[in-house]
Amino acid sequence: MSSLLTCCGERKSSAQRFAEDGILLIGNNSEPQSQDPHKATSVADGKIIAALLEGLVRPSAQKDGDVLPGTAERWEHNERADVWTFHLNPAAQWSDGTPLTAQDFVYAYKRLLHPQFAGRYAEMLYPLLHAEDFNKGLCPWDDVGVKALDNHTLQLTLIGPTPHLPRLLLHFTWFPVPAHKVEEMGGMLDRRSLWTRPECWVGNGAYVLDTHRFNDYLSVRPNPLYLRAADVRNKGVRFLPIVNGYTETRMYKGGKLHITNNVPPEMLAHARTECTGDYCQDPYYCTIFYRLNTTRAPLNDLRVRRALHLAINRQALVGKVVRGAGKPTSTFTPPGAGYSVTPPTEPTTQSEREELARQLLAEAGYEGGKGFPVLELMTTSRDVQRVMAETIQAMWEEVLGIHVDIRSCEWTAYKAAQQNMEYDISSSSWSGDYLDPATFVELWRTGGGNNCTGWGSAECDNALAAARSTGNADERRAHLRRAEETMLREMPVLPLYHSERTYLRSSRHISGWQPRLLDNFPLDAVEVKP
Amino acid sequence: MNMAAQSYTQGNSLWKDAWLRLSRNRAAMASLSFLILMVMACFVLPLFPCIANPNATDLNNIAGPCCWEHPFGTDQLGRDLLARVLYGGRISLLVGLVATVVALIIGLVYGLISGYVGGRTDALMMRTVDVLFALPFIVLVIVFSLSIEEPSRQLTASIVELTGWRREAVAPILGLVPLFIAIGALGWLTLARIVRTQTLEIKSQEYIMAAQSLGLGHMNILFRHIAPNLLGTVVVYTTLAVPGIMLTESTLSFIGLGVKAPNSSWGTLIKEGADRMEVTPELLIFPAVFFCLTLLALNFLGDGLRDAIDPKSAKD
Repeated sequence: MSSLLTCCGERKSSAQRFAEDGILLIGNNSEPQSQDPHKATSVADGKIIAALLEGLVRPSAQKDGDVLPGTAERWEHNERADVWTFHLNPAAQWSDGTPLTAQDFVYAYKRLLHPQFAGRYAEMLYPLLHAEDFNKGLCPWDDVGVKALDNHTLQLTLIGPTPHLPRLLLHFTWFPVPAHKVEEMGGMLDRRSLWTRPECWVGNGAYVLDTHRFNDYLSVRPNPLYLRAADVRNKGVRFLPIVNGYTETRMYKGGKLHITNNVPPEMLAHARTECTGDYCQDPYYCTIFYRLNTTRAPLNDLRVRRALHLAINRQALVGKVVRGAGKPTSTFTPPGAGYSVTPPTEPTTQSEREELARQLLAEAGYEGGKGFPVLELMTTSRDVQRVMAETIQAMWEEVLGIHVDIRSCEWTAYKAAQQNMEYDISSSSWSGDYLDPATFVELWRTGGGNNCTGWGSAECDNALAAARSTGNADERRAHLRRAEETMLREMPVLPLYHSERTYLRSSRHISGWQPRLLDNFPLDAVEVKP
Repeated sequence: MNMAAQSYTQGNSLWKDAWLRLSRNRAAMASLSFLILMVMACFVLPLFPCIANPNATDLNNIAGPCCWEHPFGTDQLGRDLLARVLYGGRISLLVGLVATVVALIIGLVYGLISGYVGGRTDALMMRTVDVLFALPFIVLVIVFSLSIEEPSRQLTASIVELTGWRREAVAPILGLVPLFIAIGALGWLTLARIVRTQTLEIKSQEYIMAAQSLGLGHMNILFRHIAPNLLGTVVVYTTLAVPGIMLTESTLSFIGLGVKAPNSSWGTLIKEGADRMEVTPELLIFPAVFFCLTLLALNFLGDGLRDAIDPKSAKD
C-alpha cells in the first residue's frame, strides 16, 4: 500500500506539470465550431476568439463592466452619441507583422454583414446605420455607417444614440479580421476558407493559435507582436472540450484541469465539501426558460400558456433540482446593469397559483386536462436540462393533468428544430452577449432571429424602437421595461430561473481570476503558479 | 420371457435427451430459474400495489436512502428506484425478446431460401448479406429508428383512438416499436448465414432426396423436413443473441435514442447512475447488478442449451 502511494506521489498530475510550464488548462464546454468570428456562435467559441483577437476595446481585468482601450487607443462621440470616432493605436499589428489598419475593421464588418456570406450572428452589427438593410440586400455597402477616415481612424455611424456602444464592442462579432490573410486564403465570401487553421492563423490578440486536436484540446501560445505582450501573465492556454459536467468535475479532481466550466447541480454538495476553497458560485447574466411555439394550438391560447406557467413550482425546481445554483424568476432579463422589471401580479402561494392554473385551463376548454393534446417538450441532451424537463413534466401532470413527451435532441438538431419552429415547447437558455438589458429584451422583436416563438406584438416592437432612438439612459431603460412587460403579459416564454455559474478553480495554481457576469474574464490576466 | 417383453423400454426422444442433459448442467439450470424469477419480478410484481409508481417524483426525498418504503432508495428526482429497475427490466427484456423474434423470423426464412434454392440466387442473397455486414450496425440502427419514428407515433395515436386505452399505459411500449424493428431488421445477418450453411448440409441428406423423389412440394420440404432439423442451432443462437440485443438497446438508450423519459430501461438507468457515481453510487449499483446477472444467466443458459441440443459441439 505504501509503495503504491509513493508511486502515485512521484507521478505528477497534468495540472501540476502544465502549471510548472505556466500553461492554463481550462474546461470549455463543447468542441469549438470555428475560430472565425463571423462563423462562431457558441459561448465556447467566444472564449477562444477573445484570446485570439482583440477588438477596438477590451474588458478590464480589475472591474466587471469596465472597458479599456484595445486596438483603439482613444475614442470620442458626438453629442447624440450616434457617431463615434475611434483612433487606432499606430503600433497595432497582426501576428505576421502586417500593420493593423482601420480598413481591417471595415473589411470584417462588411464580411459579417454581407448577404452572400450569411453570417449567423450578423444581427449583432445591426446598431450600425443601414447594416440591416445591407444584410438583407436592400442597399449597397457604401450606405452602411462604417468608414475608415484614414489608416488609423475608424468612424461608426449608428441608427440611434448608443451610449453603451463600448460594451457592445466587447463581443467578438465586432472584432477585426486580417483582411490580407482572408483574401489570400480564398477571399471575403469563402465560408470554407482555411485561414483559421493553426498553420495559417494570423491574429491580433494576446495569443496565437497553436494546435487544435479534434475532441481533445485546442491550445494557444502568447503572441509576441501583441500590443501589450509584456502584460500577458501566463505562457499559453489549453481549452478542453468537455460537455459532460460530471466527467469534467472528475477530471478536475484527477488533476487534469485548472478551471472547469460547470459543476452539475447534483455534484454541488460534493464539490463544496471535497474541493473546499476551489468551488466557485458566481452570478451570471443568463436566464433559463421554456420557449412556447405560439403558432401551434393549443399554445396559441394565452390561458393555456398562463396555466403552464402557473403550474410550475419554481421554488421547488431551483431548490431541489438546480440545488440553489440560480434564483427562481417569473421575469426574463436578469437583474444587473441598473435594470429590473416588476413581475406581473399573480397569486403568491403555490397552491393558489395551481388553483388559478387549473381554472385557466378549464376556461380554455380542457378541464382537468381532458382532451388536451400531447405536446412535445424538446431539450438538449445535457443532463441538467433532461432532469429539469422530467421534473416539470411531472408538475404539469400532477397539477393540470396533462401529459407532455420529452424529446431529447443532439445540439445541432435542437438548434435547427428551434430555428424552423418545429417544436411545441423548447427548453432554452440565453446568456447576455453584452452587459445591457437590450441583449435580452431585443430577442422578442417580431421576427427576430432568436425569437423562435412565432410571437410578436406592435406594442413591444414600438417600445424597442423607442429605446433604440433615445440617448437618455433612464428613458431607454423605461422603454425596455415596457417592452419586457408587454412580452411577459403575453407569455410566449416561461421564465424559470436566472442561473448562476458553478465551477471549480484551483486556488493552488491560479491567481488573479475574478468572476464576471458575462463569463468573459481576460485569460491573459490569469496567473498560473506551479 | 414375459418379463423380457415388459422390460422393453421405449427409447427417449431427442428432446427428452436434450432436456436430461440440460438438467444435469447446474449452471444452466440455476440460470434458467433465475431468468424465470427475473421475468416474474419485472412483469408480475409491478402489478401489485406494493411497488410504487416509477414516474412519481417526490422533490422532498431526493436520492433518499434505502428504507422499508423504498427498498433501493430513491433517485435524483425522488422516484422509487426499485420500481424504476423493475419497469426498466420490462423494457429491456421486452426489447431483447421481441427484437430477437423479429431477427429470428427474417434470418430463418432468408437463410432457408438461400441455402435451399442455391446457385445464383444463393450467391446474390449472400452477397447482399455481406454488403449489409460491411455497414456499421449502430449507425444503421440510428438512421432506421429515426426514419420510422414518425409513422410509429401515428400508429400509437390511432391505436389509442381505436381502443380507448390510456395513452400513458400504451405509449411506453408502442414507443419502442421503432427500436424493435430497427434492431430486429438488422440483427438477422449472422443467423441467415448460419441457417444457410446448415440448410446446405441437410439438403444433401438422403431423407431429403427421398422426400423429393416422393414428389413433395418445395414448401413442404423446407418447412417439414429442413426447418425442424435446424431448430437446435436456432434455439442456441437465439439465447446467445438476446444479451447482444439487450446491450444494443442500452447503447441506443445511452445516446438518447432508446426509451423516452421519464420511462427507463436498464441502459438509461445505468447511464444516469454512472454520471452520479461519486455522489449516489446506489443509483448505478442496483440497475447494473440486475443487468449483469441477467446477461450472465442468458449466456450460461445459451451455453448449456448448445451442449444439450448439439452434443457434437460440446467441448469435453
